[in-house]
Amino acid sequence: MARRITSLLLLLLLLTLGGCYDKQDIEQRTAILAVGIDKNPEAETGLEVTVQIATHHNLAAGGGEGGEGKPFLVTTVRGNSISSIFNKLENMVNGPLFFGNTMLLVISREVAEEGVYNHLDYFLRNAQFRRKSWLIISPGQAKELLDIPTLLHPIPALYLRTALENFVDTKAAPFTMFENFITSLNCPAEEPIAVILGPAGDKVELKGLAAFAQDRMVGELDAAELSLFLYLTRPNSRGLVYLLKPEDNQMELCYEIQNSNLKLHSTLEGGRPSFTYQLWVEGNIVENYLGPILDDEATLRRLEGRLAAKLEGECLQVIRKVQEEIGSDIFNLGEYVRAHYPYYWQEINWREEFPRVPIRVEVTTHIRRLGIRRK
Amino acid sequence: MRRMDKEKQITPRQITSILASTIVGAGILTLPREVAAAAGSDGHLATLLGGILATLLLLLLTRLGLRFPQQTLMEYSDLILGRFLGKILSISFIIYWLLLAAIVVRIFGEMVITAVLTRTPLEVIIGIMLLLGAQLAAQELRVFARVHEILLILTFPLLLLLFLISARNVNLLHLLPVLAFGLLPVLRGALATSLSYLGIEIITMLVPYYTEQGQALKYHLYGAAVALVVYVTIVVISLGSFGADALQYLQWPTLEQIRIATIPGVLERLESVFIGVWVVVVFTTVGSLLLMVNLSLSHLLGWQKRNRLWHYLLILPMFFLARYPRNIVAVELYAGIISRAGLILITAAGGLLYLVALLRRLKGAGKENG
Repeated sequence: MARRITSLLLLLLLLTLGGCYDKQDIEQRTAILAVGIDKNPEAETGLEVTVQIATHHNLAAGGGEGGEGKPFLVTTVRGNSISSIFNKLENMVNGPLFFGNTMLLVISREVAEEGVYNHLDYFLRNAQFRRKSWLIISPGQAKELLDIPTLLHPIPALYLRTALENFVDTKAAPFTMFENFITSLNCPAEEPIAVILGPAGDKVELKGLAAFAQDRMVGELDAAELSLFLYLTRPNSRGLVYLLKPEDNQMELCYEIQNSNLKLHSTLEGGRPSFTYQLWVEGNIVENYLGPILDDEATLRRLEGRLAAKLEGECLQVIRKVQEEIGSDIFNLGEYVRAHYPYYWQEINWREEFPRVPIRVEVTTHIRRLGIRRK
Repeated sequence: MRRMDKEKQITPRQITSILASTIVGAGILTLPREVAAAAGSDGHLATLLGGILATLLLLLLTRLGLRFPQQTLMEYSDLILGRFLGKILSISFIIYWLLLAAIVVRIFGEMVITAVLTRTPLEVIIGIMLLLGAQLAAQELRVFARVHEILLILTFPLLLLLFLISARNVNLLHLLPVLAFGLLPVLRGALATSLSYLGIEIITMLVPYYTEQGQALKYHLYGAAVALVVYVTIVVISLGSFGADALQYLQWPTLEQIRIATIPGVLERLESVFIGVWVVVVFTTVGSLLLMVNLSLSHLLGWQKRNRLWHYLLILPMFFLARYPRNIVAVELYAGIISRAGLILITAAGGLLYLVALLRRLKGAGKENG
């Protein structure tokens, strides 16, 4: 008897094998590739959210004969909160929304300047939304960036993502993933940053870096300042330095930084910290317009000196801009102060102190090679 | 005194595995946040100190256990404190283990339904975890020990690997300052680790079953060391990635750690792997707790053998206990209370029993046959 009951129960187990009754195929979900957040143009309050949705049937057919229409769809929905907007959107499409493939979160400058935390909260609570999505700022409307008509990749969201990855590879831009942004936002000693990406015809352009004070965008660095910012915040940077003739400001030569290293020294004297960046760079001459003939050590040394002075001046300019104009500690010196001078940190309000702290820069440059040409 | 012969069936290596996988349970899911809340950037030191304190407690329990090589905690507490007080102690331990097991599966269930299986009812996950635990506990001791042994080898290296992948995210500045505000925050942090280190008391129930009791101390220390290494690693990496302040905003810091752990283009979205590993880690803990409950119960009821059916019956009340907390905030509140109560119970019981045994010059019958 017991045996029969056991076999019956075992047979019942077969039922569990039909596990596919509530299956959900990947193409039955509405995969959101990118999300853009703008202000509602028609009302005082509220938002306009633009999403890029993958249309799998067109993607599968490829760019060739089969694919009629684009492999993506761009839709705009307005509403008062992110969740109400997505709720509305879900009632317009033919499958549940899926954020697991969302690669980009674009926020328009206008929205960023009023504070982004409220708008990010939905994504922070949502377990689908990946922490490794990019968070970028668009100078104009986020909508424009999501509907960019590019030939470089069939899907704009992927084009934007690969472009961003390329900027990071070539050291033109920092990693500004959702996760980095949120961690900086939640650290009292750090300020978040985000890359600014704008449309340029049928392509995009790296416009610079948005500086935040807590969750509000308070200023920006342009692309050239951004690369100096990168020298000052992370090692192994790359970039170009131009030397101009002092007499007539003609282009003289162009030096490419291949590698850099950074040391930050600080002292706390008289109740106020001061910082010294020691920047060390090495690289090659990549273009010589009207410069000297590069065939002896003394000339190279002189050039190294001039390059160092040039770089130092530019770095100081960026630092001054960040301290005086932007006023937000995007260098994360606050984290350094918190870590090294914990008592001082507890006494002061770093947001007030930061614009006043003395920061110096010392640059060492090395010219290693001249390319495959002599002189 | 009726002497119960206990079959020697747990090998030294199995001791280490059982101890390590019983200690590491659901506590680790929230450990980095809790320890950072109390100790700030000294969280890793607090975890280390918590581990050292737990190891001291483990040493005490080991000495106590080896003093009565043929008996479990329930049996020698009868002997030391007398029948009445001994029974009260046994019952308090049983209640504590049941509550702990319930809260452990609840914490795990909460994480699974918020992070991965968002549309699965909580009851399904709790029920399955409890059943799994009961299934493990209902086995013969030698099987129970082997399961722990095999699973530890499978899961712990994977855990450490996952954590090391995320080491790329560490910002060393987040780990500073070290000991800037004295020892007090570190001590408070060490107390906050108690939920994570609970489970060491399993040895009090298993010592009489060891094949080589002479080696017990050594292998207990190994077991505690495994847990300590896992904990300190995860706390260092979480603190370094997020910083003590940002950690406070993360409900499941360990999961978040896994979510951002990527090797671009090779390994991404390790949550599912991690949850898979975690099923194993949590169910071994639940199994151990249930085993202790059943060993104690059968002693309390005067049975010669554990009743298999009881293992499954007991999960019914636990199921409802696990369901009881109203929401995630209540879950954490209860977890805090239970773990503190457990810590007090173990320390007080261990200390008291050892002291009285010394004063009354009590020693267990039977010699060590190692």
